[in-house]
Amino acid sequence: MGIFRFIIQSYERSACVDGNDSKARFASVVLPHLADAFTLARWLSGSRADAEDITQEACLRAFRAIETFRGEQARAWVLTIVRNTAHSWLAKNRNFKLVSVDDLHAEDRTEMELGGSLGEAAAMTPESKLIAQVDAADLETAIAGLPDVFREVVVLRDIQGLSYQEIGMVAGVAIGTVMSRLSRGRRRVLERLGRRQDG
Amino acid sequence: MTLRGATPEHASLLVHAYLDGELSVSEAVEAERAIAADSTLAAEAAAVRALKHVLQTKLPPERLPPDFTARVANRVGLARRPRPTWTVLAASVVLAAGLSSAVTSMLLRTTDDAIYAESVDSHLRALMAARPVEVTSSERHAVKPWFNGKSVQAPKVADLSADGFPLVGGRIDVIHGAPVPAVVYNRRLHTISVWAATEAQAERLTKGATSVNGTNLVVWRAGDMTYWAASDLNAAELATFARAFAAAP
Repeated sequence: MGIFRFIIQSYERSACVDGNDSKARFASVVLPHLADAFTLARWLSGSRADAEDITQEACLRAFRAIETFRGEQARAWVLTIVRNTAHSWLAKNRNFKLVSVDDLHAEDRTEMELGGSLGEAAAMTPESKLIAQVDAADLETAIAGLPDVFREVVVLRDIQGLSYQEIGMVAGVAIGTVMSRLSRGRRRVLERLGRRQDG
Repeated sequence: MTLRGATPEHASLLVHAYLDGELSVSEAVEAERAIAADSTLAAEAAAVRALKHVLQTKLPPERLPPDFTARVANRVGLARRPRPTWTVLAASVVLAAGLSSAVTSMLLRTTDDAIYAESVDSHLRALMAARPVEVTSSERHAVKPWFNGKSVQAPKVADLSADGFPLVGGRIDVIHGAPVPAVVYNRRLHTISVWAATEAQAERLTKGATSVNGTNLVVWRAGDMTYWAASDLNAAELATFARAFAAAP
């Protein structure tokens, strides 16, 4: 029954049988996290228009990869794809380059050498009463000005509410790295807010 | 992980983790002690706590652009009805000449059944969510306008409380690639989701009644609209519901 097998295979190829499965899967795995996907894309790209392109592209990728989804942590899975799509999209359209680990170490070293350690950062930390009065535009500027590796963890944790473990999955780093990037990122935001209020 | 003997850098990481609720109970107790004993850590904790609060309250998640979900659904082909390629059509002709057409109809039915499975999925997903509806009201005049502009079809929202089916509210599902209004009713402890079909969906709802993994489905026409409903309610009572819905003004 060669012809019969051919028909069945053709049906499957033409996405009539398997296609509906992956479409249903896409609708239940990806669509519920669309707002989160868009929010992350918006923070990584800095623009709503670019975020639309990135999110659509990420959704296409998620759809093609839906068979590899293992049924756990759907949001982190979707956001991982969004993050990777954002990086390649920005690389293509804006010459974006993610700060490499070496660069980051160099940056850290400089900071250590210049004495930008905990003591000094704490000295620059604005009072919590002043922080509470910061407006959304200043916050937005402070977050947008962060280096990408810091911005993504701060956004994922403090705006999107992911756990350290989920952030590690999305950013592809160990939890220890998540912790150090998060604390450095937050400290930088606080420094910017403090400077703004001084000036 | 303990704070005793920790470097300032390490202690600071733990303060952040403490404020993020990522420490175990014993670690959290240690962190609290350290914050109380060290004014630098205390200042950092206060600032980070305030920062976390303003970030959460002043930078809410982005709102999706209008129709964005529908556009994404379109992009991945959720909205298009799958069509067999020409090779399949050609082969089907050859096949039809030699084989019983029952085989073809069996294959076709597999694809048509997908709409029932998808609607049961939507129904079950809604039950698992915190609330099975996006607009909660037992008042039909509050539910009906909520659908305006959210879907092409304006569903009938009938008051069936006298028949023992109180109205719970409504939501929008995406079934077979199209947003579709869902009106939700209760029967004792059972929840019933009722959808108003688009034309494309109506074409696929060829069965009067069926069930998918224990969830019953019933399909009926009222005027020029096709409705279908899913519930774990028994098939007889679900049919009663459909009759009451169709008869209601």
